[in-house]
Amino acid sequence: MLNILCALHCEAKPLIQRFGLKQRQDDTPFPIFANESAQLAVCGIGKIAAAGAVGWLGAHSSERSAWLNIGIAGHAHHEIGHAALAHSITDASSSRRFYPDIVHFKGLPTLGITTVDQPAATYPDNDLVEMEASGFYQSSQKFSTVDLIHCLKIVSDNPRNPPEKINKGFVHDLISQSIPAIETLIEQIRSLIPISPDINSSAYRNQCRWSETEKHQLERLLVRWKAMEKEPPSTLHLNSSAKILKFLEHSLNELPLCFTTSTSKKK
Amino acid sequence: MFHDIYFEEEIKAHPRTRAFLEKYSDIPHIPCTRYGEIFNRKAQNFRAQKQNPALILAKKHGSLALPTPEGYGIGDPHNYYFSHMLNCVFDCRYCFLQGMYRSAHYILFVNFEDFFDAIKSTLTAHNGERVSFFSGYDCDSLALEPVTRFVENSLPFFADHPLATLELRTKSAQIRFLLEREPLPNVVAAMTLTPHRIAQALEHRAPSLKRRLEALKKLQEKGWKIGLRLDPIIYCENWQEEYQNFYEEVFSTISLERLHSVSMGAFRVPRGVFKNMARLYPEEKLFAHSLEEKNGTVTYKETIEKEMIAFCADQILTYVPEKQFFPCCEVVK
Repeated sequence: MLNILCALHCEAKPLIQRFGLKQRQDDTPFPIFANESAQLAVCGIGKIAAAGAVGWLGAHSSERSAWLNIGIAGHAHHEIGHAALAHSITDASSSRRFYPDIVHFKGLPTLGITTVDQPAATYPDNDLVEMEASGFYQSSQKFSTVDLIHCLKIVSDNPRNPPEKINKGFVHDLISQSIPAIETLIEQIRSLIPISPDINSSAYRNQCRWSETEKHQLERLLVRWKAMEKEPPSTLHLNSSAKILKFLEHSLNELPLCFTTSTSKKK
Repeated sequence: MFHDIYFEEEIKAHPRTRAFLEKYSDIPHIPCTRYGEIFNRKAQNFRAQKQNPALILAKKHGSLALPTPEGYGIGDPHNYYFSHMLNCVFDCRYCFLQGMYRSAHYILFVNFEDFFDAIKSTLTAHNGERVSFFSGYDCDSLALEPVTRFVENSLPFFADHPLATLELRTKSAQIRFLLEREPLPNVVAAMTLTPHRIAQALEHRAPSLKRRLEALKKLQEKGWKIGLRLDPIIYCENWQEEYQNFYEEVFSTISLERLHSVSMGAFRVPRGVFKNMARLYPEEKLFAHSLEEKNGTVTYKETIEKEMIAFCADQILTYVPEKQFFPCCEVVK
């Protein structure tokens, strides 16, 4: 699942259109738009709103989710429309700094982001300046790994083009122009979402009663059997979980251990 | 080679930092306060980072030369290790570095001179006795040498301190800079070797056994002392035959005359590190078979381990005298 967060509806609209997201009709604290593989929240302005929306999305998504904050930002010298991935996020009020893991992305420029609590009259030297990223990032870290949490910001104002000129249509156009970069980023993020090993322990678990600890032991044993590229043997002749675990462990260690390049080179 | 470079703001003006940032000017340069902000973050994807590592330039604080764990020595009465780098370019499944740190990014500590000061103080504390210093504990000593130039910087120091032995432990064939220099009698180029089939399966991105042996041969011919680190011994089907042939190949290639030392040990990692490794690579056969936990260490089941150690020690001792053999474990005959 991919979770996207935008502060404003005009930032979200091009994404909603491009990815065919439909607004949820149930009672949600923020407007939520979703399809089968992504959900987008329009959280409102500010880091508290962003953190709150992430909390809601996190509680309503699967275990392995990716997170993306897309929006506009100011910059001291980059041109309007310049899109950049955040390589650091500094919370201006606390001075805390966060580092999204950007090493997996190619082809996108990166910049630092400074998140401020109030609209800023001046621009930091090198960072993008905006109002949501630090709240989004801190909250997302509760739900995912750092390689799956990212902020993409598009320059909407600079000293030559002050923020007073920004309007809904302008923001819509800026985000729309960056859709190719956003699509590339989403594709790369999706490739990083891990796939759980396909382990089915139900046949064993239905055979007798298992404690929670034993269920974990069984899962780990079946992962090891899968690594050995062998089907675990039938244990229908055994009548207790302890005996099944012992039998599976013993049978596993009786297997010949052959290292072959083709199997072990898998990444 | 690196996707991006993080650097501690404290060392922004350090000549080595400046040289790195200049050399790699086309990748992102990201300032940070302390390397731990990136390296020690929770919830990192080690496996993905291993494929696309970043370089973190930092300053090492605190104790820079540390006593080695027990059983880690090559003949000197005192043994220390130091880590000018953390993490390795190679991707060996059995290596404890796979489960030691939260991050697979490379850290390079640029304050080389502080390491030399620490080594000097350690030598002084041992008052005229020989001390071994191991540089390849948390990294490969040579694999990134063309980039870091740590060894190049350290050789003049060790030339001036003959009571110190420097072990450069590696799997790398990056030896050109050693071949271009006059050998030092107190520097040992030590190569980690495993049988070809096991190396192919488990030592991803590392040079082949053949290339490593060729590198050792060239180093010997140039006059460098070499060490053989036949560690870890990995259990597999027909392991006796595998290791017998391996030792024959190794000892028929290198010259026993300029061999400094041979060490050996079975696969073993601390319990917590093993848990991380097995979680990272659930499809890895190495972690699925015949292992058990003993006193906080995960290693082969006792019967297998004892048999392998005894067999391998016996084989090695047919080629090298006992005084050059340093098993990292008890050998029960």
